This record gives sequence, structure tokens and C-alpha cells, in this order.
Amino acid sequence: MTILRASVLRNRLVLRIGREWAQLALFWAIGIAGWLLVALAAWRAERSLREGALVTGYALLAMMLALAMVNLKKRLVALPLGTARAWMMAHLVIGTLGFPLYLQHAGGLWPGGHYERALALCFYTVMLSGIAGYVLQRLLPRRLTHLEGEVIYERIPSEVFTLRERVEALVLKGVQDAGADTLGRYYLESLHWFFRRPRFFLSHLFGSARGARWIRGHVGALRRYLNETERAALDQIESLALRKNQLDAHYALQSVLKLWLFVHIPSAVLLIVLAFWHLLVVNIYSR
Amino acid sequence: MSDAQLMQRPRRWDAPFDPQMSESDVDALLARPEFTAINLARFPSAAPLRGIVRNDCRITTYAAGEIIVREGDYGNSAFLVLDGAVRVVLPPGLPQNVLGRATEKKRGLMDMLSDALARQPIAEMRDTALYRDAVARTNSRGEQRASLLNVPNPAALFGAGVDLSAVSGRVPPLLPAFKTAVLAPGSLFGEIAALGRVQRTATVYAEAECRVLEMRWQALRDIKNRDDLWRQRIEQGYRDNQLRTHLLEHPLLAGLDPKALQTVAARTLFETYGSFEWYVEYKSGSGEPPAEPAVAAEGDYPDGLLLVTGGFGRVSTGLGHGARTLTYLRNGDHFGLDELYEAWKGGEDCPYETSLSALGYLHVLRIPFSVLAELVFPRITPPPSRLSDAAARPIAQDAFLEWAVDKRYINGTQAMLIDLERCVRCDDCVRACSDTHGGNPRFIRQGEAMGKWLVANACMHCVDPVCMIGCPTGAIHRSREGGAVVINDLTCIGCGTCANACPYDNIRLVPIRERDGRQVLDPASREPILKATKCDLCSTLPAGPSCERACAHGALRRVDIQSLITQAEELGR
Repeated sequence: MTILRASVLRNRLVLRIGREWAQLALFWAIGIAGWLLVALAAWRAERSLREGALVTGYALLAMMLALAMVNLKKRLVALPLGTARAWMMAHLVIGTLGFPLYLQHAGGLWPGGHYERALALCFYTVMLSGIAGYVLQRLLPRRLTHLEGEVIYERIPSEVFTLRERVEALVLKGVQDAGADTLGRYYLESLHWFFRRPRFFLSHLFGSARGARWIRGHVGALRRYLNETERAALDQIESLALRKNQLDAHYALQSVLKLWLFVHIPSAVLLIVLAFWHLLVVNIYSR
Repeated sequence: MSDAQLMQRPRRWDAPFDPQMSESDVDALLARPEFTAINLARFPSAAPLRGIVRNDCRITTYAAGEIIVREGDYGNSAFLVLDGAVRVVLPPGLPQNVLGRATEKKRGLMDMLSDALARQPIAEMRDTALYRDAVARTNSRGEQRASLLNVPNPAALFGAGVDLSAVSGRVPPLLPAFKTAVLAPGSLFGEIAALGRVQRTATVYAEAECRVLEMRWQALRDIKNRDDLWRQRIEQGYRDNQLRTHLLEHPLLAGLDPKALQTVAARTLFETYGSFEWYVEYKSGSGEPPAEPAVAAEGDYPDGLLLVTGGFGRVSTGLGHGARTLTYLRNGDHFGLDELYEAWKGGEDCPYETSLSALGYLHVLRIPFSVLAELVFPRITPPPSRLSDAAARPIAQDAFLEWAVDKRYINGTQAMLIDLERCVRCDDCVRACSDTHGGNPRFIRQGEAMGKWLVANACMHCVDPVCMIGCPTGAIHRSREGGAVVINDLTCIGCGTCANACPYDNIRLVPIRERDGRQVLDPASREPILKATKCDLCSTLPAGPSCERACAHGALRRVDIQSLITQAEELGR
């Protein structure tokens, strides 16, 4: 019975949460220890009049490759290589420790030399897009959860299309039943724009209710020109418009949840390519 | 369409249980007393008794020592002893390590790597040649059988000094610690596990060479439904063989001596409430909540302790003008103990503090109060908490429980639960599933949501897997290891019975394609050949369900819904 098994399951829940924290703490401990070792090795190299930047440079490259592995892991899902959650934790820890290592390697926030600046720009783009992604992934899912219904991103266009068809059918029927084209004219002037594609992208992104206000404002303004039959149709159109507004919110939030990766991943690939070229050049000219 | 692959639409009995079963075998079986009394006229022409015996049964010969069924296994067939010596090991049974459990074949590293590197360009591709070989494959007798004569430590079973290499013909008796009983020719066993979709409760082995008739559960179901003697026999078999096991497994009765247990068993009543095929009404979508037959009503006086042996029951109490769900009961739970114990202790009748109703169906054993007062209550401690204690929690905490009970999610042991506040809608879980299942995911990341929890449309591997009811070929079954509900693609005929029965719409029929991408069509109707697909918990992968492992945010979990309800209660959500 549920109430009798509670104590056993409480322990299980505590264990699960505890395990995640323990895993994260372990990654941080390993990461910081690794970073300290690299910093020490670079310091000792400088002390013995060798290039400490070579040590930090190779370490940075290794970190970048390790960070890129998270994408490879997704393709090898069947292999028992640990959970994606653990990989993501490691990704966050390595990514965070990459910044102080970069500062040590570059000798400051902004290096001299055009190529090095290009590298730095890529590095900052990857880092800042990563931070943005992390923040977005913590904020936006909660906002999505509070919307009505759960919609798969790829299905939003077809759902909007279905709603538009239903609204157009209601408008046509309303015009036929009432013998006046007020609804039809209103649809063509205002609602057609709204139903054509997702709207109020930024408003939904920042949590404003502008979309709903727009709908209610337009519908309220029109209502005085309609008879009972048309008003009934308008009520249904309003409810479909509000549903469309929810889809727009889903579209805006889910788009941003996906779009940041379109900055993060290409810039990461470019960074790795540039870093390899940098490594090559440094090795050729340092001899 | 012109270059489509043609294939005859599969039908029941396309792949008989034993293609080697001859007409003379069938004649001999039908001449046995177990079958001669059956009224043949009660069977429909589409599924006559002869056809059932011919296609859904097989005769298997076991050598001395070989295990026929093992305790803890899930099985879809029952067994009728034809001749020879068969023994059943009574509880507590054999140690697990001597049962020789075979492990399911897991995919190797190279296999998984090659799959990852060479993805199928088209989803649901099959080698249709395998279906043509299905008859031979399904009935291959190459399966590895465990034998008591090959256990790692025979002394633990037979005692020191027994030379098993010298055994011929008959297995030596087990140590006295293992209680056994003979199953004589004509005995039926395994029928409760097969029909009730539960684990087998005892190990049965061949004491000497024997022949048994293995019957698919569909055969047993058809015969039981059409013959009263078989129905009575199955019920009596339950009383004789399983009841004491059920009683002994219950913590309240665990320490009873054999004589007392015999008394309890003799006076226990079997009761079934609701419909075994509850999902039909549940899926009808009438909008009205399905009827829940009352088992016990708040305020009535109890006359016996109810032990749940199957199905689910809702425990509720009146609140305002409605009923408030306090908890639910499932196999192993009991109802009425608080009131009966109080009545015994105080010497006055004590009415039920809560009501019990059947969610779908509910099998209960009713142990009369007089038996409890005489044999059970004097030796137990007072119950530590009462069912009615749950009424003290705030009403706001009821929502999740009420929702899970109403939606029957309490049935799920491996429900895919997504924390929507953590889920970033990346669909990595869907892609992972698709990558491990030939390019087509076995679930949809949509479903019913309650607060931040979404129960996705993925097979929940139910306690009561109603999808297994009615499968004409037995293609959908419990896996031997772990008990996951899986579909044998080779014997699935794409009839859709399982998909239609699943109350949660978690089984999908997909059109299949040949390895070269051609559609596979039925030559007569030119309709595509379909196969049922569902989540199999990635049972062939060594690391478990890929969906859960692919979630980088820890949002997706496969859970026993009951644990979540308890967590919600614990956390006061």
C-alpha cells in the first residue's frame, strides 16, 4: 500500500538526488584538480624559461575536443558510455574551467594579432552562447510547462494550418448565415494576418500577453457590429485565436531553445578548426 | 507500387506451435479423457477444438532432471502432463542460483557500433525471408534447457555423496528441505500464470523422462471459455496449488504452521469484481468515467479480510458530495485489517472506515473474521498505521493520485515520465529511440500531463498488460528476463488486437519494407503488411532504455507510477 511503502521510497528518492549531486561534485573535483595540474605545469615551464603557453594551449585543445565529444555521444546512444546527463555535467564543468585556462593562455581577455583575435572571438561566441543556452534551458521549459497543452515543434505549422482552416470555415458560415460580410471583411483585414504564421515572437519570448490583448481588443471592437448568429461564430473564432496564440508562444520559446545551438555548434566547429591551424602555425614557427 | 514485394497476409495459425504435430498426434490427444468430455459444438467453426489442439499446442518430451517451468518466470503457456514423472517444487522453492536461468541475448559492441555507423536510410525495414522461415524458427527445439542434473553445486540440492553422473532414468530425490509433490499424468500446471499474466510461482521439473502438452494461453482461454469442466478444473487447481502460496506470501500469514494454513486455505473465498476486459469500456471514450464495482462500502460491517491477488482497487472515503481517493491497492495489498483487528481487540463490531471499489477488475481472497480471530490476530502486532490515516493530508495533495488512478496509470511499471520543467524539447530521447529501433521511434513525446509531469505515449509494461489478451499467435509476451512486455516480430501478424486493446494507445502498427526499401504488400488486397511495434525497454541493449540515457537534462525517467505517487505524497506536492 502506498502509505506503507513510503519510507522505502523516500530513501530511494534521496539516493537518486544525492547521486546526481555526488556525480557533479566528482566532476568538479576532477576538473579543478586537472586545471590546477595544467596551471602548475605551465608555471613550472615558465620558471624553466620554456613556453608555458604551449602547455595551456595543448590543454585547451584537449578540452575543446572533450567538449565536442558530447555531440558524438549522441550518435552512439546504443553503446554503454554512460548517461547523457553525466556527459552534460562533464561538458558544463570542462566548459566553465576552459575560461580561466583561456585567460592564462592568452594572457588577458583580448589578445594581440588578427588571427588570435579571430580565435578569441570564436572562443567568446562559443562560451557566451553556451552560457545563454544553459540559462535558456533552465528558464524556458518552465514557461512552456505553464502554457496550455504540449506541442511538438515540428507539428506547429500543421496545427496553425488546421486552426486557420477551421476559422475560415467559421467565417464563411457566419457570412452565409447572417447575410452580411462584416465577419469576412474583418477576417481579411485583421485575422488573416494573425493566422498566416506565428506572430508576436518577441512578446511571447519575454512573457508579455500582447498577443492575447491584441485578440481581445480586435474581437471586442468588432462585436458591436454583429448580430447574435455572427457573435456566436465570433466567440468560436476568438477561442481558436487564443489557441493559436498559445501555439505562437510554444513556437517562440521552442525556437529559441533550438536556435542557440545554431550559434553554439557552428562556432565550436570553427573554433576547433582555427585552433588546429593555430597549433600548426605555432609548432612550425616555434622551431 | 509496381515494384512492391508481395506477401500473403498472415493469419492465426500460420505459424503453428509445432509444425511437426501430426493428425495422428491430434487424434491421440483428443482421445484422452481430458478432451473427450468437451462438447465440440460449443466451438466456432473458425476455431474448432481440433484446430486449437493442432495449432496452439505442442507435445514436448523432457529428459530426467530438465526444468519445465521455473519459479519467477513469465510464461504464456500452460502444461498438461501426458505421461512420465513430473514433480513440482513447493514453496519456498529452489535457490535462484540453481535454476539455470538463461539470459536474453544482448547486442555485442561491434554490432552496436556498426548500427551506429550504418544507419538504415528507410525505417522499418525487414528481411521478409525470416518470416517465411518463421514456422521453423518459432518452433525450433534448439532452446537451451536447464537441468537439475547440471547445477553448479548439486550437493546443495541432492546432498553430498550423490553421484549424478550415474543417474539414469530417474532424478534422485531432493534434500528434505525442498518440499516437492508429484504431478500425475492428466495434471494441468502453469495455467494461472498463463491466464493471469503473472509470474510462475513454482518450479516444475521432469523426475523421469516425460511428455507434456504445452498449450498456448490462447488455447487454454478458448477451451476454458467453452467448457465448464475445464473452467472448474482450473479454479480447483488454483485452490489446490496456488492458494496456499498466495497466503504464505502475505506478511500477515507468513509464519502460520501448515495445519493453520490449511484451515485458512480451506475457508478462504475467491471473489472477482469488475470485468477482466475492463479496457474495452475504458477505451470506449464515452466521456463517462468507467463503472467501478463496489467491493466494500464505508459504514458497512466487514466479515473478512480482503487480500488482493490481481487487478486494482480504489480506497476512498466520502468528502462533501463526492468520494476522495486515499490510495489504491494491488496484488499483495489487503483491505479491512484495521477494522477487523479493532473489532477483535475491542470485542465490538467496527464498520469500514473507507470504501473499496474495483478499478477494472479486482481478484480478492476473503478470509473470514472467525479464522482470523482464531489463527491470525493472536500472533500479530497491531497495524502500525491505518488506511484512513491518509485522509489527514491536505486535499491539495490529492490531485496527482486522483489523476493517476482515473487514467489508470497506476498500471505502469515502466512509464515514461517527463519532467516538463526540465525537458528542453530537444527530442534527443526520440532520436535515441529511433536510432536503436531501425529508424522509427517506439514512442511519441506526447501524452497526458499533470502539472509538470507528462506521461508520454510509451509502453508502460503494465502490471496487467491487457495488450496480451487476444493476441492470436502469442507474439506479444512477457520476456523471460525482467518481465518486459515485448513483441516477437516474427510471429506478429499485424492484426492490431494488441494496439486496439492497449488503453493508453502505446502500440502502433507500422507498414514494413523489404531490405531494399520496397514496400511489402499483401498480394490479394495490395494492402501493406503491418507489424505491431512498441517500446521494448531496449531489452537487447546492455545499458537499458536508450531514451532515458539520452536525456541530458535528467528530465526523462522510466518509473513505476506508484513510486511517483508516493514521492508526491512525501514531498507534499
